[in-house]
Amino acid sequence: MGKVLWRALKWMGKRSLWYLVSIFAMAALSAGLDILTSYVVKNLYGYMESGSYERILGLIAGGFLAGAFLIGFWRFFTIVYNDEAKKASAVLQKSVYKKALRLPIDAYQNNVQGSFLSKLTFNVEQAADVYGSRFRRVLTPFISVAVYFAAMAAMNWRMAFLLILLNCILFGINLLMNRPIKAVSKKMMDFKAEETGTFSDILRGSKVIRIYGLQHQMQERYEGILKKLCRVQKKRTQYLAFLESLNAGFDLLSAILFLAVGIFMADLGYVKLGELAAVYVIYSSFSYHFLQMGKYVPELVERLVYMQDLFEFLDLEEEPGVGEPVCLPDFASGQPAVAFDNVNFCYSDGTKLFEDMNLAIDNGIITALTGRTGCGKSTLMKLLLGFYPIQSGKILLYGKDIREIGYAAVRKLTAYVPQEPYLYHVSIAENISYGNPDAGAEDIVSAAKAAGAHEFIQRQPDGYDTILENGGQNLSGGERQRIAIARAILKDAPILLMDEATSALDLESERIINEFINRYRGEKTIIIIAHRQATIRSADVEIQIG
Amino acid sequence: MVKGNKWKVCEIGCYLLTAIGMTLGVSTILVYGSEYVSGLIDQMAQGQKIVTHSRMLQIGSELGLLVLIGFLCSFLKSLSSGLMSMNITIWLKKAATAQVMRIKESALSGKSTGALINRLTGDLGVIERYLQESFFSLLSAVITVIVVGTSIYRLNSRIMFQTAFLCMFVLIIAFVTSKKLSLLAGGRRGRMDRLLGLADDFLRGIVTGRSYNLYGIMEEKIEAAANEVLENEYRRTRISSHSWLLQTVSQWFPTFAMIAMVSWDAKTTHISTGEITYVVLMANRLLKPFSDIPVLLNETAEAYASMKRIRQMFSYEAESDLGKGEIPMMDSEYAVEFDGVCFSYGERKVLNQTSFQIKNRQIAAFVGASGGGKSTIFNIFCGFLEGYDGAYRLFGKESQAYSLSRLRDCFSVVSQETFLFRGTILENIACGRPGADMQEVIQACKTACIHDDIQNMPEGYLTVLAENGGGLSGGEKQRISLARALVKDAPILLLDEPTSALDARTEAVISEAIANLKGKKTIIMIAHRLSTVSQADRIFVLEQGNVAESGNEAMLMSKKGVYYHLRKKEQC
Ligand SMILES: Nc1ncnc2c1ncn2[C@@H]1O[C@H](COP(=O)(O)OP(=O)(O)OP(=O)(O)O)[C@@H](O)[C@H]1O
Ligand SMILES: Nc1ncnc2c1ncn2[C@@H]1O[C@H](COP(=O)(O)OP(=O)(O)OP(=O)(O)O)[C@@H](O)[C@H]1O
Ligand SMILES: [Mg+2]
Ligand SMILES: [Mg+2]
Repeated sequence: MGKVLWRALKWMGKRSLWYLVSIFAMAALSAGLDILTSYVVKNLYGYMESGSYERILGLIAGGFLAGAFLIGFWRFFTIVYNDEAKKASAVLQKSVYKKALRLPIDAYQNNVQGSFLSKLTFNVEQAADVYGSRFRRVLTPFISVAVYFAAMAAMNWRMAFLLILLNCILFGINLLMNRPIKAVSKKMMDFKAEETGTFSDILRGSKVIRIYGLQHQMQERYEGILKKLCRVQKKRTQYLAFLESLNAGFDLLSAILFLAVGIFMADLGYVKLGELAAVYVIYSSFSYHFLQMGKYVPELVERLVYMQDLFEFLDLEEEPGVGEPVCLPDFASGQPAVAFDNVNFCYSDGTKLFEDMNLAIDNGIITALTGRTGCGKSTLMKLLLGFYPIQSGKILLYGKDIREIGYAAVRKLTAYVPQEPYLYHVSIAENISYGNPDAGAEDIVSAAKAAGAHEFIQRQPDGYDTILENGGQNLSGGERQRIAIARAILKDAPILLMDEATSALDLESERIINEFINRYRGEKTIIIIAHRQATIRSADVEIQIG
Repeated sequence: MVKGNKWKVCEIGCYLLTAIGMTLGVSTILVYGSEYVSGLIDQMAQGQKIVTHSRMLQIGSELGLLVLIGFLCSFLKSLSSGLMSMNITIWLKKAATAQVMRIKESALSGKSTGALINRLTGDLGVIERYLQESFFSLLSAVITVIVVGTSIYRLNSRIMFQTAFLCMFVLIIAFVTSKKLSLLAGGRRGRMDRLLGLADDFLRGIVTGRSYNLYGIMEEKIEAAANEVLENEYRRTRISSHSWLLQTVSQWFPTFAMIAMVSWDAKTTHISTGEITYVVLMANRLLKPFSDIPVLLNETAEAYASMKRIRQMFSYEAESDLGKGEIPMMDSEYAVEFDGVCFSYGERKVLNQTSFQIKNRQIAAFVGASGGGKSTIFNIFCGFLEGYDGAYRLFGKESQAYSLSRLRDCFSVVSQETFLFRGTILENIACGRPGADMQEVIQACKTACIHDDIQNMPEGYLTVLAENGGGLSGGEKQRISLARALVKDAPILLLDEPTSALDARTEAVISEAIANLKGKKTIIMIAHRLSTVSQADRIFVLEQGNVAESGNEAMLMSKKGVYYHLRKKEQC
């Protein structure tokens, strides 16, 4: 856990200095306030005994001024601290969110356990608490305890040592609880992921649930997870309750013990009554902080478990080349546009698909990929795009290995319409413009026209500015496909990959798209996966897979 | 259900009462202990010798008992408060999922999943933490202040009023800041919704995003949304730092002021050293919880903002199930009929006086341009859309005569976009009908032409699927969802392009299997490949939201209308 904490601090970079300094300053200043009070109390007794009330007035006024001064400084540091803490949380949040977009494709599709969303909401929020409060809460007591101890020892060292001894025992017991609490929060994290996953299924599968009357079943499934979560949480509650009562009981015990011993010593003349009260004023703050030290260490550990999980997530291997600048290969070299050279591939779950696969598709040719469902047509396109690493062999674009070209560049070279295209929660125009972010409004319209989409887009309530909801739920299946095609058309890449891109289209719309394809015959390399005979026949070459 | 709820309320009530009682106990013990000690100091100041053997024993045992009770009280207090907050959150979660499954389908499809998930995990998390930690701290602060207040009042009423005045001042400022904070907290959660909605969107569209190198765009948007959250946080900390200040000032200042007042009083009236010590103890030890009140109020304000958002979730319109619960008459002549149905999504008119009748136990098909309203008709069939004009009759009776669940019992659906749950393939198919056994599942899979493919998977029927069927090919998903529909064995089978992702050979096998169901079930399908629907008993050609022509293949071909032209085009 120490390592995680260290990394969490390093993560802040240079700002960690400000962050730490402000924690130190805050702790020291507020300890200073308590010492000030205790000083006033100590002298108060003395002045009262001697009956000099004018000096009391002076004492109080002076104490008040000094206090205001200390608070002013303190406030400055709280602002610094808070800003730094928020900044650090935000940086962590951003990196996790960004990381979630950079993993290899496999990580998303075989993410059986739960969903990333749980990481993004729950885990990030929990881990951010380390910066927000938990770390400070642990550190502050250490600092203030040191300050108080010095002050107490100066007033009466016997009492001070007694107190330290008592509290150290307590602290030790608290530390013992760290291990079980860690185990519990790890489990909670897993169940939380499962819970989020199930909830998102409930949201996304709402139609299926309603039509098959699965409300009850889903509710039970969800409650089953809650039950598991509940069991762990009960354990956690017990641990925390035990700790808290231990702390509270110990607090009482040591307060009373302190007084008893104090009284005893006062009776025997070892301490003066004023000293006793003064030490006690500090002591109450001291023990308050000491208690917190014990109480907050387990809580910090709990949050560090989440932090560790996030760091592990951040350490996951990324897909190489995501977000890197692009440099294109020479595609007038006369080499085949696409070639598979002895490619062996199987999915990470062991589904074997290609064995010594060889394939060459010449530049400027329209190719139809056909084959029985599940034979690997879509997989072939995904391999071409570098979504999955192949076990052996080479995939070449214009005679160059895609790994050399770099995935970002490969994707720049290809316009891909996936079998299940996704439309983002932005306007139709923006969805299309993702094909080419520099395109102007006219280009977007002409791409939409080429995809046979212009007409229905204009019929939408806000035309091109209509916002698509939930992956395009407010469009029909065929309309969604045409927008995805328009996006690919706008991209205007030398290689066009269409994975059953017209499966939900009527004849007329498909004709428009075929027209577009024919227009580029000889110019672009086009690979189509399709089932309709007419489409297959219009291709120059048919490659059967499997 | 109601009984279960009652028990739950009782249980939660018990926890709450225990927690309150124990909070009271802990505070009382603190006050009592301090009074006890101040008594001792007084005795000592009056020159009594208390360090005698028997006195020490007595004092020790009395104080020990106090500690023991304090220990027990605080254990019970935190246990019951923890259990209470856990029970309440779990209860809310259960209610929220039940609610989500009740919300109108049309209302749900407009909501971002990310945002709803954020409510369930984020907001409920805030509430849980609040109930567990801050709520009882606030409670115990208030109780302690009251107990201490009365105790000081007994000692000296003037000090008590002076203290009360100070406290009021602090409280007023605290209230004002917490109001503002509540707004900002709500704003923070709203911005988190947006951020999470974005992330959810990008994660779902990850393949598209990768292939278009959208990483830069996505990153920018995430950055902007996260920065908005941060901006809001800055504003929030500015205001909450006021309450921090208040906390420190009220922790320090009243102590100081009280000491000053007491010692001033000591000049004029007679207050013993013991009493002063007592006041000092009180001020320091027992007013500490009071100083936490401003910060706790802030947390209350934040929890309140989250609670409001959860409440909002419960205010979404639920499906109105006013049906009279009639039982469908399976032997009526027509399975479904539309009579002059008009429907529009907002302004956008989709169905315009659509009328058709589909005979029971026959195969019917809808064809027509993409975006022509075919899927919309299916959605109306299933009761997913309301607010249409005209009549929709199911088995001879107005659809309103049935309860929604009865109505939906009549349909098995393969929708245009398949959806599969996380879990095994077996679960995904068997959920078509509760109680379906393995034999039925295998039979359905054979009909849907997927049995062999499943068997070839490493773990067969027990293969675990990731989110929405990750790890399957498009055609495999489609056939699994067809198998699920077949397992349900409902009288009407709705197939919205069930074979769009299948090759011609597989499609032919499935088409034949479906044709074999004729005479047993009503089958209604949508297809763009006209060859798929050519064996239908009746084909409806939709145009401009209306049935332009209908009849079987031969009739339509001889009519030489829309269908004829489409068919000719497809063949060439
Ligand atoms: N991410 C994955 N992990 C493991 N196996 C996978 C994954 N994606 C696909 N498969 C398996 O690989 C095989 C080929 O899938 P692919 O999607 O390439 O088929 P396809 O030819 O496109 O079929 P369809 O015509 O049905 O779309 C299938 O059996 C599928 O179950
Ligand atoms: N939830 C919605 N909100 C607003 N408009 C919608 C919604 N769903 C569909 N529409 C619109 O209603 C029209 C009909 O959609 P529908 O899904 O019924 O078409 P379809 O005939 O099934 O088309 P396809 O063959 O392409 O699937 C479309 O133009 C679409 O834009
Ligand atoms: Mg495919
Ligand atoms: Mg449709």
